[in-house]
Amino acid sequence: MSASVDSEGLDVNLTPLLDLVLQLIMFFMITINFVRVDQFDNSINLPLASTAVALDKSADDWIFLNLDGQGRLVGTLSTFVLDTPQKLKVHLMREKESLERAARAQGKTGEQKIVIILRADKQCKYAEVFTVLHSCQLAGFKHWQLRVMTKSKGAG
Amino acid sequence: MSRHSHKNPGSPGVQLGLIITPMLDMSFQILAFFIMTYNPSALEGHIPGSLVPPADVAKKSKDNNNSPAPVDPLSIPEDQLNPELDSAVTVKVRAVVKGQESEGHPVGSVRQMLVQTSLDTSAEIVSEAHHDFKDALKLLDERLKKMTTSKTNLKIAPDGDLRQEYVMVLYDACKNAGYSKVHFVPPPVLNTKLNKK
Repeated sequence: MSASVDSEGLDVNLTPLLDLVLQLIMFFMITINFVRVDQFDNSINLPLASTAVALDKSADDWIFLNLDGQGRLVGTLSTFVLDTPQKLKVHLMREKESLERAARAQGKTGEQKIVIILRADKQCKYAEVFTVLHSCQLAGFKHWQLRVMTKSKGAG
Repeated sequence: MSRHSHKNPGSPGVQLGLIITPMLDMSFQILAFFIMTYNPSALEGHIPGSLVPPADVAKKSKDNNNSPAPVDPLSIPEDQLNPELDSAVTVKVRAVVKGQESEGHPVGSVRQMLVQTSLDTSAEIVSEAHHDFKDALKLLDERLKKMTTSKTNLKIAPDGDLRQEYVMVLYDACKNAGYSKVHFVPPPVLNTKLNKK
C-alpha cells in the first residue's frame, strides 16, 4: 500500500485495498451456497464413489435422511423417536402428505416427484441402509438417491 | 470522517475525493458476513435408484396371473422379480463378522466374493478371505469383464453386515466393468425378517 507524506500528514492510498475487498465480496457472493440445515450434516462421512452422477434437480421436493455410522437417523430427524422402521414409515408418510398439501396450495397439480436423499455414513451397515429404504418404499416413495462423495477416476 | 482531497504529484495512486469510510465499513461488514457464512459446496454426487411400488412389482413378476399381489415387495422371492433381472449377473459379497476379523480385514469388510451368472447356475468364488481387498477387486474386475452375457444388468447382493463404503467400492467396480444398470439386492438378513412377518 502506498502512502504519500506532505505537510498535512499521512495520506493512505486506499484504492488497492478497496479493489481487493470488492473482489473478495464478489467471489463470496458468487460462491455462496445457502443450504438447508439437513442437507449437509458434517458428522456424516459419506463413502467415495467415482461413478456417482451429478445431482438431479428435476424433483419437486426432497427429503433428506442422514444415517450415522451406528445406523441412527441424525440431523433434523434426531428430535423424533424413529427407532423402528414402522415409526420412520409413519413419519415419512406424514412428511409426504405435508409436502403434497403444500404443493397443492401453491397450485401444483399432478403427482409430485419427491425424492428421498439418503446420506448414509460409510461405516453404517448395508442392512441399515436397506431398512431405511424399505420404510421409504412402504411410505409410498418411488425415488431415492444415495449420496456419496465424488472422486475422480484416477484418484485414490 | 472526511478525507482531504489534494493533488500530490509524487503519489501514483488515484486520489479519491469521496467520503469512502462508510463504504469501506460496509464492505468489511459484508466481507465478514460472507467469510463467516462461507460453506464450500461439498463434492457430493448421487447414485440414483427407484423404489418400485408393490403393485408394479406384482405386474412385473413372472406368475402375475396366478400369484396374489405381494404385500411386501422386498419379501418376494428373487425368481419372481422382474424377468429382466433373471439373466443378470449377481455379485454376492460375504462380510467379515465379529470373531472373523484379522489384520487388514476388519469387521464389516469383504470376506468373500462370488459371482453367479444367472439364477440357474451356481455361484463361483472370485475371492477368498486371504485376498487383499485391492486384489479381490482386481479379480472381480477380470471375472466380470470375461462374462459373455450382455453387459447391462448386474445385481449386487451384499451381506447385511457389509459396511457401506465397501458397497460403494463394489458399485464402482461393477460400473467400471461395463455394467450400466447396477441393482442392489436386499440383504439376506432383512429378507428373512420380512418373510417372517
